Amino acid sequence: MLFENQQIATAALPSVETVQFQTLPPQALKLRTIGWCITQGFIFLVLIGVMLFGDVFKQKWPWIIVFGIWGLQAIYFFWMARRRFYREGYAVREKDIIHTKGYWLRTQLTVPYNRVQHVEIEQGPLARAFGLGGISVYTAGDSGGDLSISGIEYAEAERIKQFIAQKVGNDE
Amino acid sequence: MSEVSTPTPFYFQPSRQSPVAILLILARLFRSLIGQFWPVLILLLLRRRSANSSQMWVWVGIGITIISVVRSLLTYFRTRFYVQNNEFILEKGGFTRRRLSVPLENIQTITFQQTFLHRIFNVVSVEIDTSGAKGSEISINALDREKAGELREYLLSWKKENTSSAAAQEKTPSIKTPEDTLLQLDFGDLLRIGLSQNHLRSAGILFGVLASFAREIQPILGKSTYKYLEEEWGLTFNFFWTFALWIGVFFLLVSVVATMILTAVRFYNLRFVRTGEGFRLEAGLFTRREQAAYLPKIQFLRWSANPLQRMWGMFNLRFYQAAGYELGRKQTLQVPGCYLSQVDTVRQAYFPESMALPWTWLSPHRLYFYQRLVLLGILPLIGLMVKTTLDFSWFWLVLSLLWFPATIWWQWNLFRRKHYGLSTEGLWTKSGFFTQSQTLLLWRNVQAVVLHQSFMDARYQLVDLTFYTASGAVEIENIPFSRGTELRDYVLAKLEYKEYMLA
Repeated sequence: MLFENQQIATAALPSVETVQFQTLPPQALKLRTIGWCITQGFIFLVLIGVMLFGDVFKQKWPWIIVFGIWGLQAIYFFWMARRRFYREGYAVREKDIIHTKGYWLRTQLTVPYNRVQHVEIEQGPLARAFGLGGISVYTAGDSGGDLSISGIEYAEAERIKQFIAQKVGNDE
Repeated sequence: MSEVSTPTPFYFQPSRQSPVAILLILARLFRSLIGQFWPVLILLLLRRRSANSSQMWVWVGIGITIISVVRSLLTYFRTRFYVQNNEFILEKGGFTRRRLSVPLENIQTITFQQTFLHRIFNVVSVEIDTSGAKGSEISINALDREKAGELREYLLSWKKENTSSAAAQEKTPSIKTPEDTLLQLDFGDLLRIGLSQNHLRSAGILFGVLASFAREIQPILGKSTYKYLEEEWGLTFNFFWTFALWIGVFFLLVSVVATMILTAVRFYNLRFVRTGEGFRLEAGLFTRREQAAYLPKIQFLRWSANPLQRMWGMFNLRFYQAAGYELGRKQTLQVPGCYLSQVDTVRQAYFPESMALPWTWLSPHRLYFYQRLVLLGILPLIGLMVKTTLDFSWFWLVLSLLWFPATIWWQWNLFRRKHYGLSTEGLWTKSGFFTQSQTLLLWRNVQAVVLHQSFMDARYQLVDLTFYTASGAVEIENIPFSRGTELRDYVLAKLEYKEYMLA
C-alpha cells in the first residue's frame, strides 16, 4: 500500500516495470566504438607527445606506469561500453517516453508528453554514415529532466518526434 | 495631446521605455567596457607615456564615447514593446535588430528591479521570464513605475483569465483580492537574520580567499609566510596555536559584521505581501528588488531553520518558481525571518490539502547512513592516518581519533531526521540536523521522473527517485524498490490521466 486512506488501486496503474524496452540497433555499438577509439587515440597521442617533447619524468619507468594505466582504463571502458550498451533502451508509450541506461548506476527517466516543451533531432557526421541519429525531448526548466537518446535509426528518431509532436498538439 | 474619452492602455501601441533608459544603457555599456578592458587601462596608466601616444589614447577615448552614446541612443529609439494578438512583442537592437514575440500564456514571472539610479528617477527595470527556449526572456531597462505596474497587472490578469478556464478547477470571481502584508521586517528582525546566518561558512570562505591571496603574493614578499612569522614575530610552535586561535576569532568577527551589513542591505525594509495572484516580495536598500510569485508558477516550497533560528522561531522560506532558462538564483524567491504563521499561510496557498491530508511517512534504508559513513568517515580517516604516521603531530593524531566518532554522530542524526511524506497530492520531505529543512511539492508540478539504482541499491533492493520540476528537483533516496516503482507509476498516472488528476 502506497498511501494510507487509499482511494486509488495502485495495482491497476499502468506500470513501467512491465514495459518491454526497445534496444538500440547494433550499428549504434559500432558508432560508439568508433567514437570511443577516436577519444582514446587522442589521449594516446597526447601522452606520446608529452613523453617525446615534454620534460615531465627523468626516468623511463614512470612512463611505463602511465601507459599501463592508460591501457587498463581503455580495456575497462571498452568492456563497460559494451555492457552499458546492452543495458540501454527506450520505450515510447501512449502517454510518455522512457529512457533507461547505465550499468553500475541504472537510471530510468520518464517524461510525460504533456510536459514536453520541444523535441529536437540531432545527427553528427559520423552518425550520418551509419544512418543513425539522436532525439532530445526537452521539458521546462531544469536540464536534468531532459531526455536524450543517441544512436537510434534516424528514421525512428523522426517517427518518435512526429508522434510526440502530435501528442503534444492533441493535448492543447 | 488632449485626453481621449476611452484611453487605450499604453501597452497596446508600440511604446518606448522611459528616456532614463538612455542613461542606464550608457552606464551599462561603460561598465562592461571597463570590465573588459581594465587590465589595458591599468597598464596604460602605469606606463610612462610619451606625448604622442597619450594624445592618441585621448582620441580613442573620445571615439569610444561617441560610439557608446550613438549606440545607446539607437538602442533606446529602436526598442519598442507592445501587446498584439495575445503576444508580447519586443523590438530591440542597437546595430543589429531583433524582434522577440512571446505568447502571453508563456509568461511565467515578472520581476521589477530598482538600482540606485532607477530610484532617483522613479523608474523600474522589468524582467519577464518565459517558459520558452533560451534567450527568449524579455527585459526592459527602464519604465515608469506606474506604467510598469499597469503592465504587470494586465499580463497577470490575462494569464489568470485564460489559463484557469482551461484547467476548469477554480471559478474565482474576478473581484480583486486586497493586498495583505504578511511580513514586514523591522530592525530587530534584520539583526536576528544577520546574526543567524552561517558565519562559520563565510569565515571559512573569507579565510580561503585570503590564504590563496597570501600564496599569490608570497613570491613578491620573497620569503615564506611561516619563515616571516618565525623571524619577524618570533613565533614558536606554541605561539602558533594561540595565533591561529586569534586569527579564527578575528575572521569570525569580520564575517559576522560583514554578513550583518550585507543582510541589512539586501533585506532592508522587506515587505512580503499576499496578492490576488500570489505573493510579492520587496526588499533592498540600494537596489530595491520587487519579485512576484504567480501562484500556479510556484513549483515547490522549502523552509529551513538553523539552531539559532529555531531558538527564535524563525524560518528561511524559499519559493522555487518556474522561470526561463539560466536565470539561476532569480528563480528562487527567498523570504528570511518568517515565523510559523507566515509559513503556514504560504503552505495553505500553495498546497491547501497539505494540512488535512493523511501522510504516509517513509524513512530511507540504513544504507543511506552506511554509504555516507564510508564516504565521509572512513575514506578521510584513512588519509588522516597515513598523514599521522608519515608526519607525526599531536594535531593530526587528535583529529584522526575524533574524526570517525564525530562522523558517526553527525551522519546518524542526519539519517534519523530524514523523512519522506507521501500523499495522493504531493510530497513532503524533512531533513537536516543542524539546519533542518522541509520541502513541499505538489505532484502536478512534476515535469519528469527519474529512477536511480546504484549497484549497492540493487543489492538491498532499494531505489532513489528524483522529481524534476520547472525549477529544480526534489529527491527521495534509498527507499524500497517496490515502493519506489509504485510511487513513480502513481505520479506518472496522475500527470497523464485526467481521472487521476482530479482524484
